[in-house]
Amino acid sequence: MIVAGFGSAEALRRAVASLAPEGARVETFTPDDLDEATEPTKSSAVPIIMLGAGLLGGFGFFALQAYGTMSGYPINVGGRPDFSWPPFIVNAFEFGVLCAIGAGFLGFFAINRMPKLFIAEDACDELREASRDGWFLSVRGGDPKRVRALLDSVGPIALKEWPE
Amino acid sequence: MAWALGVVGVAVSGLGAFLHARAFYFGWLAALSVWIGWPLGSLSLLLIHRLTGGRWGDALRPYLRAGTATLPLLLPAILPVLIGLPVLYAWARPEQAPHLANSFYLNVPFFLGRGAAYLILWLGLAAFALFTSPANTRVAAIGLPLLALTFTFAIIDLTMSLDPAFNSSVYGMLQGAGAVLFALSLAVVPAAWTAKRDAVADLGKLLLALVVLWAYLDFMQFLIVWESNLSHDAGWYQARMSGGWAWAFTAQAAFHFALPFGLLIVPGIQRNRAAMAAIAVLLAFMAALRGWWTVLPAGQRPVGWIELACMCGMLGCGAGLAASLGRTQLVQRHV
Amino acid sequence: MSDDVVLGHPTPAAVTDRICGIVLHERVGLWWWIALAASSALLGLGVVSVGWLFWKGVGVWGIDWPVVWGFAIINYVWWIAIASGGTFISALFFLVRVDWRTSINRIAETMMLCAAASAGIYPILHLGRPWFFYWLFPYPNTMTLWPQFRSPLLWDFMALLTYVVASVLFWYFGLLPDLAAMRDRARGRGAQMFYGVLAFGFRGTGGQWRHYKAAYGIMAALMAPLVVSVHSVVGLDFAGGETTGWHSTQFPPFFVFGALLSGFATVILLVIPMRHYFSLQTYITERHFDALGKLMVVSSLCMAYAYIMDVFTTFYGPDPADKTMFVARMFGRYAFVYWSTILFNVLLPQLLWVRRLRLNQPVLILVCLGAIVGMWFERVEIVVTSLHRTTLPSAWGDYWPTFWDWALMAGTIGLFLTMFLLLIRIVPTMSIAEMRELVRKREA
Repeated sequence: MIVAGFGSAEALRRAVASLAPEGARVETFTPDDLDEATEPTKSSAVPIIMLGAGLLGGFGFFALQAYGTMSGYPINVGGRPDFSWPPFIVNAFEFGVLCAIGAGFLGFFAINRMPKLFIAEDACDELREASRDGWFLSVRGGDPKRVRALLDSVGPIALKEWPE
Repeated sequence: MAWALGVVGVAVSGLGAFLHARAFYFGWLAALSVWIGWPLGSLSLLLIHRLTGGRWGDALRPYLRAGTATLPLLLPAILPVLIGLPVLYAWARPEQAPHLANSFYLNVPFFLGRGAAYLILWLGLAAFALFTSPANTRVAAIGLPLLALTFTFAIIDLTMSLDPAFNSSVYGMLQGAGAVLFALSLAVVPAAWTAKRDAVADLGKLLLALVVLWAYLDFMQFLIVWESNLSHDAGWYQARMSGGWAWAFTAQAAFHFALPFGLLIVPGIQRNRAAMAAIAVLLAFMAALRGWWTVLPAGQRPVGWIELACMCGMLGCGAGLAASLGRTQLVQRHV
Repeated sequence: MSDDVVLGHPTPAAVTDRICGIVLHERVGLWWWIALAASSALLGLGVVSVGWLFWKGVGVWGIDWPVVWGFAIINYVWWIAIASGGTFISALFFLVRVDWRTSINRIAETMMLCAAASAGIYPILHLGRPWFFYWLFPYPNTMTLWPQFRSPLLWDFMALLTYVVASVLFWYFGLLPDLAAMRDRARGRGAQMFYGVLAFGFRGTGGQWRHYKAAYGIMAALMAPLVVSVHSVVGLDFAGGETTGWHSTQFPPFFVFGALLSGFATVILLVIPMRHYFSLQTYITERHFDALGKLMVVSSLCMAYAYIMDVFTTFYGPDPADKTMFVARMFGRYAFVYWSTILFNVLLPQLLWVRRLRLNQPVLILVCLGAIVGMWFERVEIVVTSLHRTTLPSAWGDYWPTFWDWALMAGTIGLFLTMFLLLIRIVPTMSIAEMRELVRKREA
């Protein structure tokens, strides 16, 4: 495994691009989103999960209220109909939002397989800079010599190689 | 073409005035209450943009300026309402007015006096927005709260007082949001084609925000009236949720909120010029329906050919004037 | 005077070191210990008063017929409004991409968390039998009972539950990259473990960032309408009732305006000392006070509009009891409450039209303190003066708070300050990740 750090996002992008044809598994570690240009909502499943959970929670809670007041425990409050849809909307909205935000939170962790407190790359101490101003990548597989040469040509500020 | 529609509409509604005066007065008031949102909503957006800046305003400016410039059309347009005052309003009928709890406020002299004051203020603000450089922000900051207040009281006079017992404190805010949404929709229809790519998405977000704001205020008014179930408030909705008007009520929920909302939250649609223009057209049509739904039940009038002619005449003349003025130096100077 | 949101040209590395350092390496000043001691003392008083309340019941408060909603509801609404203002700054101004939001959104969010906690305990205590609070939730029970879904008080429970949970999740989610940064900067083993576990293994990989940005954007887009809905439901608690002065259709937006005013004021009051004591002048500049001061003016004008409509519709409307109540409100024994509201919420903030006064910190502090006091008076006005002149003249009566009312209120202020003081020693006081992005884009 090789972990290499660069001084700028631009350098890291060049390194990633040069490694693309090598068939190695590359992962980046960056202080900020490397790929800002792409629209996040298009490239992530989290918004869809949130939308689904929100709709399910909202319509589900609406149905629960309708069942509760129409069948579970019908009670006449000042002549209001059992199916009192205007007030039901309020609770349905609140619960839908709760489900959507909860699903976004949990969905983010599930998709990224978190929590993952330790990873192999942690053996490289310099990786801590990735949450400061260092732009890092790790390479698994591929031809180590060629990968090393390619990385060196970009000019890393930190580089560590060790057998997997 | 807009002029043709407007002139034909006015001519037909003039014929309607002879055949069925009551239908004409209510139809004309409904049309006026919708149209007034165009110049005043455009004016408020121009003033807001002076204070906040933003790409959306740069993209909309020529159309908002043209919309604002049509405000003097209010002078002839208000005449039928003034002539039909006793037909339209219970408080303007000498036999009914003394029995009203709020006749200290709702009476003809006071109505005319404050109406004239609103008109002078609006014309002054419109002149300010059209003639001064966009860098001049001070009057905009003072003018906006005044515009909000005067619009509130004007729309209370024009449409809320049709039912003198109906008393809703959010009414002005709600109708104001509707007016701004209407003006924005009409400006987005051409701007969706002329704006830069990035700005189109901004317009979509702004449209979305106003649709949500309008729907929120409308639902809150409805929910509180529904919950409290007091005769003088609930009666207002009763008249507007029975018979054919129930369909108009449902149509507003579906096409003034649900459908545009569902479409506008999709990022792809926000960038699609044709889709944006189509949504804006839909919202403008729904605003017209909303005007009928607000006004006509007060006169127990359905939507007939006279009402349709009034709406076409008023909005057609407004659109024709906006298009003509849009090419003049008046509108073009600060674009 | 510059219009920059950041002074000078700090590098992303400097931003990270500085903000992490405040929590990890810098020694805290004496002021913090004094403030903590004072706020814990208040909190202790609150704990005692809750204990006494549990022992004796809600009779220890000043509530009685006809004013059955006293300090518990007044202070609940007051606190939840303060919290909502924090959410607005954080969520709404994220959506409209305002650059000055970056330096203060963490302070606003932390403030909203503490205020929501202070708000949340009141409805529970006000139940009278707080140990049955879970009856509010629809759950299968042997009594085969269902909650009353048509009641605004139940909506309030749902809204508050959603708001508190969503606020915590939103706050924590926003913290994730910063907790990772703290983990990587921490020197002691204990601190590394602590922040390492809290960061859940966030390392800024390509996938993590992509999903993170998408999720955070949608969460912000949901938090903004959520906070409007929560405060609207608080307004509906009143507007759904037919008590004099409460049946008003503008109450939902009116309460949202009040939330903005008191929330912005609280954020300013917290930002000023934090900027001073943590030496954050680089990141919190005159631009921030200028923008926040303008927001104070805007929300104050919205309040003025709502007050005008309040008077107008009362006397325009058909209900004589409403008019009697409103005259009593303006000229009766609680008149000082009404006129304080007008003075502090409408008149005083107008000072901030002048740019020089917006940037003058003593004036700003005075106006903000005034707005917070004024918003408290407004809730007293709505709760107490409406109930003390109800429709039936034979049921008229007064309300005065007892010592225990004041003690519990002091206790919630203690809870708010204690939580806030502790949290700013544990989590970064600014969003490091967003601040890094901001300075990087500024240089580019």
